[in-house]
Amino acid sequence: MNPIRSLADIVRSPSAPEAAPAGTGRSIAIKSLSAYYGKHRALEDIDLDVLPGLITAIIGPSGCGKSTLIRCVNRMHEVIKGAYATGSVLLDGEDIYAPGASPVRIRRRIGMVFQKPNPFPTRTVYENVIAGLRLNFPRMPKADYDETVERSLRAAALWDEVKDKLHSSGSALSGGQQQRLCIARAIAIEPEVLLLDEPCSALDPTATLKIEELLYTLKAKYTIVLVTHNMQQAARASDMTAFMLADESHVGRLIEYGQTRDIFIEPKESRTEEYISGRLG
Amino acid sequence: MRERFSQDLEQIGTELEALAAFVAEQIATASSALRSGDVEAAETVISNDKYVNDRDIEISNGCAVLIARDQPVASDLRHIIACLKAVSDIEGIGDDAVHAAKRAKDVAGGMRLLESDRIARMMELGAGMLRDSVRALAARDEALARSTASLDGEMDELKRQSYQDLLEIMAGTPEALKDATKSLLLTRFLERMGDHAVTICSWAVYSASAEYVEL
Repeated sequence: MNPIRSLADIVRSPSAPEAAPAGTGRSIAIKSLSAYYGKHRALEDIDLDVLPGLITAIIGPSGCGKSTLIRCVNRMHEVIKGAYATGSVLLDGEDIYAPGASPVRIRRRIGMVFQKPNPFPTRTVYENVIAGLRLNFPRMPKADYDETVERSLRAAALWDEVKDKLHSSGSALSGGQQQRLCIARAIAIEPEVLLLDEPCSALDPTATLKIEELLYTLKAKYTIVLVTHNMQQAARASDMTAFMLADESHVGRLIEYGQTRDIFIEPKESRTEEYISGRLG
Repeated sequence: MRERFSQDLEQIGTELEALAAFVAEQIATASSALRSGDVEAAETVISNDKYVNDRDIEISNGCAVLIARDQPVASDLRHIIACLKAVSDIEGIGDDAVHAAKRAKDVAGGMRLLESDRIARMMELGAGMLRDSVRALAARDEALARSTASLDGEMDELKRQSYQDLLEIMAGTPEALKDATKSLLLTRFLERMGDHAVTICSWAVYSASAEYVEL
């Protein structure tokens, strides 16, 4: 499926930033971002440049603010009562927190996939894929919907498995298939960025590997941010890794960010090393 | 869980040190056999080599199990890789000791060992470098690794001087040609012990600092 990689490619693996083809995906520049739940500050002063065309893993112990961070990237954080963020998030140079920026439009540009596969249970596979599309473009010709369903399911590596049951319930699929269905639903609206919050934590190793392979094929087109608790997954599936940690007062910070190979072979920060080698705390 | 892993990782280092001590003893036995022509001692060194080879495989397997079971990263991963590489060099030094033991059998059969003082010194130096390089690796001690590697200069110098003197003997005393050639080859094998030890030192530095340097 993938082209044969030379040893040099492997050593640089999965792919060094400079290897990212120009013009693919969108960059996300997070600048001085702090996030709050009422009075509690959950994130402090995060600066992180997510590079286009690569998979960036965010790792860190529970409660370090990983999920909060990616929810800030598509303005989902503020949906919680009392929650807000300061600082800026530039999507290809455009501040998504600028006054007048529309959260709905931003969420269309930034797709999100969650920990537990959450297809709409009463809807068919077909209806699940075009759910977002119907919301945004309710009057599309059926042929366009059909085309989107096939294209999205193919891109999510699910088409061959479900093409004969497009009109069965989405919840009848296996866990791994449901998660790929959610990815198909996210990419059906052609976002520029794909955020995944522990997408494999409810899946078995085979389904997990399928998702990882899928992400590998999708990164040519989308900038991908993957929150994961699974160190091996971060090491296997990502190009860049960001390590976050919360202090005693539960304020999450970015501790180290770099190429995945460097983080897992020669991390600069002792706290990174302690965490990835299972010795923190 | 990680406690067990840390202990197992330490155990790999301990076993490497034990193997290095065993091989250093092999070198010492071969060295005294070269002086005395003690065939029995030489035979012991030769037959002991199977044990060294078996330990090489066992320790390598131990490293493989730790990699598969605990999926180490960062300094743990580097340390296991360093141990895995170093064990081959320890085994290689074992082979050099066997070569010396074979020459000891020749001595028992009437061969005249030339350059015997320098050869004895090279063997002493090689055994010491072996012990210290493996100790540096097990303790992830970069300073000890670097100072041990620097001893290789003396080893090279001993080899160089032996080579020169043996060439002169070969040129001036054709009847000594066979003994001189065997002695010369032996110094080449002994010099290699230093090279192996230096490689182990490089892996010790890699384990400690993530940087592989030719020492």
